[in-house]
Amino acid sequence: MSATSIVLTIALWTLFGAQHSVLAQGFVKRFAGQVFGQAFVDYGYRFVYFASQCFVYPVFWYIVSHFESGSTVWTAPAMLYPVHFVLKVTGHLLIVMTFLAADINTFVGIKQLWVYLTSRLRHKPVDRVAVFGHNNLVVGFPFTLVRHPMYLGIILSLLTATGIYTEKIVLNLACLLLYVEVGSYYEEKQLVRLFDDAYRRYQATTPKYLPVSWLQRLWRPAFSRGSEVG
Amino acid sequence: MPPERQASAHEPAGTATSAPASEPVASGKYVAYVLVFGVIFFVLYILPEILIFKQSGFAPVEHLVQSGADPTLGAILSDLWRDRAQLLNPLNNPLVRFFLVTIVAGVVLDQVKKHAPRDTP
Repeated sequence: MSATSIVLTIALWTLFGAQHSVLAQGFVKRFAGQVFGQAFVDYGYRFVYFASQCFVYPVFWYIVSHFESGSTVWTAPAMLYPVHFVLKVTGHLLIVMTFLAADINTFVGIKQLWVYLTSRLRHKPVDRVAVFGHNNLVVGFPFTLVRHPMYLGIILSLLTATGIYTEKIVLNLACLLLYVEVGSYYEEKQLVRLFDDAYRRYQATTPKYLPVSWLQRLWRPAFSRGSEVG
Repeated sequence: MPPERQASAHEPAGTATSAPASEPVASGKYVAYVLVFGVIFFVLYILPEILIFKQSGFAPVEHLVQSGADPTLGAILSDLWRDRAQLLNPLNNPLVRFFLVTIVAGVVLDQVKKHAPRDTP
């Protein structure tokens, strides 16, 4: 992979992460509130943010994925295909279950917009909407496995989107891991600020990305059965 | 009317007398939404995986562009401009398609939660 492709890939990931982070900052929301009104920030901002990402992400991924692939670093052997398959399905289902547990309709902002528009049409006061990670701490499944099941799902999905790991894939995986690590660091700082002790207790009992305790519980009976047989 | 009388007024006569007052009773709407959610979840998320498995087995399915050429950023951007209609069409966008179907599943799940049986004092 050429040095230019590497530098451009890293630069694009940085830009993508930066715009994601900047749009979620308080000062941008305050500015939007000054221009469009507080109701827009409370009931419309999240949807506009989501809609913008539906255009930004495909453009970003189109450019990043069209760079030279470089040489092959590793090819998954046939004996690992079942593991690869299980990880792929796990990744997909984790993403879906996370969105459902976090209430996808508040996550993408449709519920807030709906509540606002229907209240205005009926000339009634607008209800407050419980939004995941904002005024609603969600710790049910799959958040019982890890604190960031969506990130884990995305990592697994990219990891299993191919069986031939070229330099380009490895670089993009490294960028994704860095992006997730930086993103989750700031997310957790914000969650501690919002939910304080409740989130600290959750942090203390639930791993960040790898469901270690869950895997141990799953494997321990198998190991103990094995040792009994042996 | 006291609350316990109101609750039993909506229940079939048989269940109202046989079930203890504190035991939650699943309504018909709740069961219907659970079934709809189950069908949606299977059709949208499980069935595609089964179909892919039937086609390719455990073998990895390539979803990423593997290119031997080393295009310049300018060439990629000009290709992007050429493909812009296809790329930015929301219905061509797998991310948007995923969100659309999951939004529908989310609406049904909301109804499941809304009609879920609750403990009555």
